[in-house]
Amino acid sequence: MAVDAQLKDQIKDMIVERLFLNVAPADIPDAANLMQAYNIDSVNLFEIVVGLEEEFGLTLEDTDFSTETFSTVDNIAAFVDEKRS
Amino acid sequence: MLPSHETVAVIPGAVALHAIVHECVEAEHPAWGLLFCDPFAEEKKCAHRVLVEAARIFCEADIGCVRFDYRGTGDSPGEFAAATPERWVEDILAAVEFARQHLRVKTLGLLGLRLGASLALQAANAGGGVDFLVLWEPVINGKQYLAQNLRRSMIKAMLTDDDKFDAGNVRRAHEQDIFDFDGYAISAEMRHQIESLDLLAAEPSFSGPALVVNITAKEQPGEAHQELAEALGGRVIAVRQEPFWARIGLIGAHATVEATEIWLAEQQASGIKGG
Repeated sequence: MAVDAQLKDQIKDMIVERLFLNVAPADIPDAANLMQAYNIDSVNLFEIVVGLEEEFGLTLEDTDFSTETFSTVDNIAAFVDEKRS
Repeated sequence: MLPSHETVAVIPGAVALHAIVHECVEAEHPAWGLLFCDPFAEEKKCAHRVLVEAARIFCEADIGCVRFDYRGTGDSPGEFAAATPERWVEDILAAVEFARQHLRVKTLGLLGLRLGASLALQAANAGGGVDFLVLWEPVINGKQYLAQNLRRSMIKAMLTDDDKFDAGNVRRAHEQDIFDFDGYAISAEMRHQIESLDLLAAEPSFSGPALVVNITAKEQPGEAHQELAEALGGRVIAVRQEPFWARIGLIGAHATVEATEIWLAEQQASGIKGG
């Protein structure tokens, strides 16, 4: 299922803001591995999880935790889309 | 030359607590003092450098500072397993008395970070001779604090060994009577007391000036921080800054310290009475 570009932009905005990244949100490629490209560690990933809950109204279950889910903007967007539906 | 003359001291009480006194070089007897209330566990380690630097900066503004270790933590004696937030509030109250006498200040405030901010508020509510409060990113709800710790544990486990990662195992480990909180064994009593923490549950009895600092990626303070400041009749500000208490090696908290300095200067100008 295609995820709309607006959702991906919102996710990029959230990541840049919460991780204090020195990069323009639009410059984050949808398929880039975030862990490798932006040195995302457990502290950063925690901020992303909190951001998904607070800004996207999600509640994450234990089974939602996998590195694959949070590895790219594409995957995060698909995850948000699925949780919302 | 350092802006403060720093000496090791012992705070007398039920348990003799290890303290560092920052006496101001410029003002032999400053009128104002600050007692630092540290955060808990890994957050204390990560924030240590920032808090030392903050004490030195406040000394430059002629505000004497005392930092100390709660019983069972840092260099203070006592069994960590027997420690509880209630006991640490007692430690803060003992440290308040010590700081007031040792610094010989008329006006003394508490500056707490994370769980330390929550304990500082409880100590101030207990009528511990506290004139003002500075709460840096207080833990407002203990249940959420523990839930966030569980999340962190899950994320760490997931990143450490994704193949063997089992979120259920991490959760079960957290539900044991004694569980691992960032490498610290938390007793059932400590868990119960942290879970009971809810700064918005009752009207605070402390009525002095208070500053609630929401250290955040956002431009505006969060709802809970606003509610807390409102209940205290104090001010809330958002400071856009990374969570320095979660990062070893991130020693800069300039925006937070600067915002606090400005607020303290305003309070000094307004002439609140101490003691």
